[in-house]
Amino acid sequence: MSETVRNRIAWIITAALAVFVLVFTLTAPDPQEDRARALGSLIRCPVCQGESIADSPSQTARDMMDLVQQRIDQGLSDEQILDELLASYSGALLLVPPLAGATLWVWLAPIGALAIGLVLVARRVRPAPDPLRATPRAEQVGTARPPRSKRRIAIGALVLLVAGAGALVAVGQFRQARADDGLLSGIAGGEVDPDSISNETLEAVIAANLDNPEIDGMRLALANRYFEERNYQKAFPHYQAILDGDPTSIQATEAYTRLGWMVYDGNGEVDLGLSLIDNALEIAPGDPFANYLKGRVLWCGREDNEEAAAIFTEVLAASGLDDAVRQQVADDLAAASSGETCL
Amino acid sequence: MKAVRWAAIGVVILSVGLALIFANRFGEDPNLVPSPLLGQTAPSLTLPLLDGSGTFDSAALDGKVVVVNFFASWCIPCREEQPDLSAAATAFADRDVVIVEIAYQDEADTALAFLDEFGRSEAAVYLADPGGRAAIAYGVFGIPETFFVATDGTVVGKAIGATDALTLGTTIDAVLRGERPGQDVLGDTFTGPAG
Repeated sequence: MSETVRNRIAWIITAALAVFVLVFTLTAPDPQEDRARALGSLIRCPVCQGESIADSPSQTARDMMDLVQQRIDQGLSDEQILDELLASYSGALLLVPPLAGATLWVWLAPIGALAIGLVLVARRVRPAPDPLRATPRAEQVGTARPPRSKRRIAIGALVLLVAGAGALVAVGQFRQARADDGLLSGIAGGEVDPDSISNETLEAVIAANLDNPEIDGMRLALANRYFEERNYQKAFPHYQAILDGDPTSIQATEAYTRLGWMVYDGNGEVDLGLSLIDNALEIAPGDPFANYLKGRVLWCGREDNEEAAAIFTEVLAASGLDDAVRQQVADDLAAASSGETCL
Repeated sequence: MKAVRWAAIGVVILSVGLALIFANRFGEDPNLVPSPLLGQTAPSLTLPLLDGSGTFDSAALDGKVVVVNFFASWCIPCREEQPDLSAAATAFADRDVVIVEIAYQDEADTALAFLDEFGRSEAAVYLADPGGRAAIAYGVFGIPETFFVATDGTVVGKAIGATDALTLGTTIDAVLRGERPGQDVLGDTFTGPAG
């Protein structure tokens, strides 16, 4: 081979190497991108099964990879970036449990088990020689493992059976039925104390369940709360809605009664009040509450003490009145009968 | 051979112990990770309004009870809870309670169409979440997820799955009383448009 040929070959090899190095350098992954991938491969994709955010094609994983890249570009350390994600997702986000804290034993337990195993194996393989009792080898082989008696095997089986049954029973103690709706604890547990429910909550539940006729009971309870607070403006639309639904229902009786009192007490409209209460009495003749408020409108609005007293007497004759109400009616009856004006 | 026997007894005791520990977790959802945000300050957010009319800064809600809900038009349980969310937003508007709904992995126009169909409240705030930053900050696994933030800015409750007006209302009542409702699973969640 002439020197010229050798020179040419050398040049070609050098040029090829140069091109190779150039191509390799240009196509080599960006070290920053590598860092993002390495970090991403430690983080579990929260919406996937055992996949890292670097490997998962899901939108969530891509969003999280973008965030990791952005934080790297901002100059944050790997630890800072992991801390940010763990602060919102918890340590469960790490694919590999950390070598510290509660998960330390996950790492140490196998090492400990291995060490114990090795010790046991070593002791079996090299039994300690007993120089004082040197026995012939053949005899030792014959007596080292006496065949187990059937009795010992039976006892062993019994112990295992009892232990197994005990474990099953103990495990059963911990089984707990899961509620159909998946409720475990905390928010909105099954039992809600009605008094703790705010007017706003009742408003929200009613507004979200307008199509449900069963909601009238809750509507009436809320309207009555407003009525007791003398917040007639808020009570009015609820009573109205009850009457728009089924104007002959038991709830309608109460709605008519209280509406009647509201138009008298709020607007001074005696006739309209009385006619609304009469509507209630048409649905439920002799209803003590409707009767009582009718008596009050007659007494306070019309100063018709005689008629009012007659109605109060009728109310007191009705059964099922609560003691406080009975007392109030009795007081009103005494006042109206003695010609006093209403309080 | 005493060592082997002791080792065997040790293994049995260990197995029974582990069985008891695992059995103790029956009835719990192994996928349910308690949110580390509970008891922590809620992430501060600056996000575009869903209708594109500007940006919204969560600092504007300081001192109020805030309910942060993640929803999407592709999320089936979200359809169930949307009317209840808007009803609660309207009902509690006068109590310094604001419901913030953040569209999760959704386009603004489909999310707005969803709200038009299933209900929106004038009192609620509807936000977009480009790049899923808010969802990551809140550690969202699947939607719907709803977070309850007390007046001091601490996250005090989290509901996983569709809520309803009674759950929302009683939880808000509890937060207004200064209680910390904690975390609960109310139903299924969806992790992405593919379900």
